Amino acid sequence: MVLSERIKKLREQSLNAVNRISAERALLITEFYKSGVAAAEPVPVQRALSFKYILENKSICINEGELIVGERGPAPKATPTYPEICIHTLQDLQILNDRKKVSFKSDEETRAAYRDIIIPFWKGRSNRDRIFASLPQEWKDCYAAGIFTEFQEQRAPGHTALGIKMFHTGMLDLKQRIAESMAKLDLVKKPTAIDQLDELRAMDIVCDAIMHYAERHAEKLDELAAAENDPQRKAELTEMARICRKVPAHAPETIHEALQHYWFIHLGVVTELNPWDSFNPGRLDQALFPIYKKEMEEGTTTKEQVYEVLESFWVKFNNHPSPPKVGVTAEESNTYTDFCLINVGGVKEDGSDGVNEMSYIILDVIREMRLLQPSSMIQVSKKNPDLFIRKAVDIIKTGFGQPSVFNTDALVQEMLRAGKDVKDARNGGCSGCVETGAFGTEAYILTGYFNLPKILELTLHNGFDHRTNKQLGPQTGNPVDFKTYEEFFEAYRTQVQYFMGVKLTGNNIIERIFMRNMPVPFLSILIDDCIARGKDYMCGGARYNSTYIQGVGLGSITDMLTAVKYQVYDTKSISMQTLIDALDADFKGYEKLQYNLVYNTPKYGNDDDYADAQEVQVFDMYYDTINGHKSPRGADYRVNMLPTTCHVYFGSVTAATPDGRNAWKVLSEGISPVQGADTNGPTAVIRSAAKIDHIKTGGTLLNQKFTPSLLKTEEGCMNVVHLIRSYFRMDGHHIQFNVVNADTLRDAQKHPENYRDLIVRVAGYSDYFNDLGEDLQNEIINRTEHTEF
Amino acid sequence: MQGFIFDIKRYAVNDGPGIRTTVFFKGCSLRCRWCHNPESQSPKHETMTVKRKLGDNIFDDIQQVGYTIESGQLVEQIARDEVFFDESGGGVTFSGGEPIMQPEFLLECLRGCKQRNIQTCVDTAGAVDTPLMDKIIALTDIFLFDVKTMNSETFAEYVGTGFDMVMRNLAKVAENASRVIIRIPVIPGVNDDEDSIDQIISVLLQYPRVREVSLLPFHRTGFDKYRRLGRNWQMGDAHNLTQEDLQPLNNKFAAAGFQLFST
Repeated sequence: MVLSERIKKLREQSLNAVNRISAERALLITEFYKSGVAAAEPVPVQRALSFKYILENKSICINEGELIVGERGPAPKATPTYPEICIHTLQDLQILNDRKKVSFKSDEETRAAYRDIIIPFWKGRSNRDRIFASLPQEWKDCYAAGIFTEFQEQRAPGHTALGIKMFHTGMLDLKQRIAESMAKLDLVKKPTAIDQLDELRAMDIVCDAIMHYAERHAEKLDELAAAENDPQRKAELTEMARICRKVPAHAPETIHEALQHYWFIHLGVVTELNPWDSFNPGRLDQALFPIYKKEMEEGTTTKEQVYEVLESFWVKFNNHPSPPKVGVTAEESNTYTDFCLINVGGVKEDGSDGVNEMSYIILDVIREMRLLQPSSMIQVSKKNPDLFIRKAVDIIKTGFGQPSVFNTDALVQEMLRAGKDVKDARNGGCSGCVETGAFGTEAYILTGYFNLPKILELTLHNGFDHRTNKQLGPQTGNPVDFKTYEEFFEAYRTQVQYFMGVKLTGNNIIERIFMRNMPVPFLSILIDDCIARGKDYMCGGARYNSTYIQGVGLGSITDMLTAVKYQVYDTKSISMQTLIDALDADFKGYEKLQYNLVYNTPKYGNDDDYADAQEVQVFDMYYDTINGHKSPRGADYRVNMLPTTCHVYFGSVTAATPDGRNAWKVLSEGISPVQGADTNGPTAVIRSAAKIDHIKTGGTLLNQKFTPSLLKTEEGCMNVVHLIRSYFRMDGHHIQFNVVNADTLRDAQKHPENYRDLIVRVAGYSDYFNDLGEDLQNEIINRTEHTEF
Repeated sequence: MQGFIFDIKRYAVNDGPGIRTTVFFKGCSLRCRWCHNPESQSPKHETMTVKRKLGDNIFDDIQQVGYTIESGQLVEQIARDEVFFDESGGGVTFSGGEPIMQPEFLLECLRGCKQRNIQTCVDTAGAVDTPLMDKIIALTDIFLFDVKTMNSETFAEYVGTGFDMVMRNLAKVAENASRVIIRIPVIPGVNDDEDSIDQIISVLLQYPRVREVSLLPFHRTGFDKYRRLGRNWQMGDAHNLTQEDLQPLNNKFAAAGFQLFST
C-alpha cells in the first residue's frame, strides 16, 4: 500500500528534523529536587513524584497531521538529558554540538541553563558520580584500557519489552492491582513490608501521572479542534482527544487506541529515565491482531485507516533519537538508534503458528516507511509459512538492513533452559540488538561488552598492557615458556577469569547503586510481577531476572588462537618469540609473516573443523566464566555475543594480533567471521557459526553480507529463505543480511549528500551510512567487497 | 578410489536447482575458446600465480591448481551442506572440466551421494566415450548437458573434436536420464545468431523429454585467469553479453515450447 500524502509529509518532517538537546526535562527535575517538596519521602516515592512533576509541566507537542500524539521533548528530536543519571558538561554539549556524526545541537539558552542551573545542582549527586566514587581502582584501570565497557554509567538499565497483556490492560486496572497488593501487606507480620508499601505508593502515583499527562493531550487536542477549519482534521482531532481520555486509563479497543495507549506508555518509560533500548511494543502483530480482527468484523475501521495510523505510529519512533552519549559509551554505541525492535511472527502462547494478517500488514509498513526507527525483526518458527520469510526477504533485498531474522524455536529453548515457563517463553522474543527475553515478565539487563581479543594480547605480554603502561592482569607467565597450546590456552583462561572478576565486582556495585537510588516505579507497573511483589524492576521485582555480559570478537579471538595453535605449536612455522616480536612491531619488518597469518592459516567461518575447534573452546570457556554467578537483585549472569559498534572501539585499543590484524584496527563483530576471512560462501559461514551452542546464550549475532545480484531472481530470494531455515534447524539464534554493493558505499563516502537515506546493517541494528565513523564505513565496505563471489 | 579435482564451491546457486555444492573435476576433452575456467582443462597439476595485496605490499602467491581426493572424503565434504540441500531441494553438481573423463571416480561419488540421499547433478559436455555412461545416467538426478553448437564445423573450429560423440551422448542422456537441462553458453560471433539457435532448437525438438534450457551469457571473467596461468586469451575483445541481450534468443526457445531455467 503506498503512503498517503499525510504520511509522506510526516515522514519527511521526521527525516528533516534536527537533533537537538532540550533542557526541559533536566530543568524540571532540577526544580523538583531543589524545591525539597518530596525530601521527606522515601526514594521510590520521590522518584514517582519527580516523574509526575515532569509530566505535569513539560510542554505538550502535537505535530501537524499526526494521528498518534506525544513527544518526549518539546518537539520532534528535541532530546532530553537525565542529570540524575549522568551530567552533560558544557564541554560534552560542545562536543555533541560540533561532532560530525550523531550530533545534537544546542543553543546559547540551553547551554546557559546547563551552566547556571543544571550542572551546579547535580554536580556530585548524579548516579554516575556515585558509581565512580564506589568503583575500585583496578576496575577503572581496566575500563580505561578497554577491557570492558559499562552500560549503566550513562544510561539506566531497561532492556525490556512490553508484554501482550498490557495491550489489554489500562492504568485503572493497574491501580486496582496496586491497591490489592497494598491491602495484603502486614507490617507486623512482615517487618520489612514498609519497602513494599513505599514502592506500591510510588507505583500508584505514576499511574495517576500518566493518565493526567494523557488528559493534558486531550485538552490541547480540544483546543486545536476548536480552531481547526478543515472539517476532516477537526473530526480527527476530536476523535484523538476522545482516545487520549480513554487510554492509557482504560484498555484499548481499537487499533488507533491501542497504538496511542502504547505510545503513552513508551513516553512514560523514556521520561522516567533513559533506559537502554528505550522501550518496545514487543510482539506487535500478536497484540494488535485480535483488536484488528474485531474492528474489521464490526466495520469500525478500514484497512487504509489501519495502515495510516500504524505509519503515523512509526514516525513517532523516528522522532525519538537515543539520548546523547559521550566518551567511551558514545564510542561503543554511537547512533541515533534507540534499539526499539518490533517483533513480527513467531508462535502464539499455545505454541501454534503466530503469523497473521497483521504480521503482513506490519511488513508492508516496514517496507513503505523505510525508517531508521523503529527497528524491526521477524521471528521465524518452524511452524511459520515460507511465504512469511519470503515477504521479509523482499524488504531485506532493498538493502536497508531490516527486518533481521530470529529463530523462535531457539529463543523458546533458550528461555526454557533459563527456567522460564513455556507460555512466558512463547510470549517472548528479542529486543535491542538480539537479546532474548520474556516480554512483560523479565528484567534482562545488559551490562557491558567484554574484549576477548584484548585479553589475548595481554596474555602474550604476561598481563601487561603496553598501551596504558600498566600491569593489568595477573602474571600468567612468559608465553615463550609454554610447551603446548593447552598451556597457552590455560594462561588465557586465567586472564579472562581475572578480568571477568573485575567486571562482575563493578557490575554488582553498580547494580546495588541503581537498586538504592534509581527505582523506576513506572517501568515496574508494566512488568509482572513487580506489583504483586511490591518490588521495583531495578530490585528484582520482575518474574525473571537476567544480567548479560556481551562477548565481543568471537571471530577475531578464534582466529588468534588458531594462528597460535597452528603456526607456533602444530606446524612450528613461527616461534612464539618471533610472533610476539612481530606483533610488538605491528608487523613492520615481518610482512611475509603477517601475510602467512592472514592467508595461510585456517580461519573461522569456513566450516573448517581445525579453526572452529577454537571457536567452541573459547565460547565454552567464556560461558563457564560467567554462568552461575548471581547479581545483587538475584539475577542470573548469562552470556550473549553481540557488539553494537563496540568491535570498532575495542579494536582501537587492541594492538596487533596473531590473526594478522594490524594494531588498532576493527575486530570481528558478533559471531561473524573476521571481515574477509570467510571465503567458502554463506553455507560454510552458517555451519561454522552453528558449532557453538546458541541455546546456552541469550543471543548471538550473525551478519551475512549479500550483493544485490544474489537476490535478483525468485530462486535467489528463495535460497535466502532456505539459508535461514537451514541455520535455524541448526539452532542458530539470529541472522541479518546486508544487501548492498561496495561501489555504492564508496560513492556514498565521496558524496554523502546523495545518500542521506542510505541505511545499512551495522551489527544488530541498522544505521544511516553517513552517520557512521569513517573506520566503520570502511569496515562495512570491506565486508561487502568480500562477498561478491 | 582417488579422483583429480581443482575446486569445491559451496552455495553454488547457478548449477541446478536450490543450494548446491559444485565439485570441479580437472581435465577436459574440449578446448572451448571462451572457456572461463581454463585451469579446468589440463588433467595435470598446474600452478597459478596470484597477486595479493596486504597493506602496502603485494605478494605473489603461487597456488597449486588440482589435487587428488578420495571419493569417500569428497562425499563427506559434500555432505557438510546436507541441511541446506534438504531445505532448498538442492544437492551436488559434478562439473569441471569434464566429470565423465573420470568415469569410475564419478560413479563412486554418485553412489556415495545417493547412499546419503543427496540429489546429484552432472554437468557434462558429452565429449567422452565411456562404457559406464549407462551407470552414470542411472545415478544422476539431473543432467546439465552443455550444447555449444549443432554445426560440426563451428564445433571443430571453436570447441574441439568429438562432435559425433557429443551427439550420441546427447541422444543417450536425452532418452534415458530422469531430468535434463540443456545449457547453452551464448558466445558472440559463434552461436549468438538466430540461425545457430534455430539449429539447436530443431535438434532438441527431436527429444520430447528435453524441454528445459538455460542460456548463459558470455562473460570475460576468465580473462585474468589466462594471464595467471601464463596462457593467451583467445577471445580478442569479444564483449560481455547481458541477460537482456539473450532475451530474443530466450523468446525463441519459449516459442518452441521450452521452459527456460533461470540461473
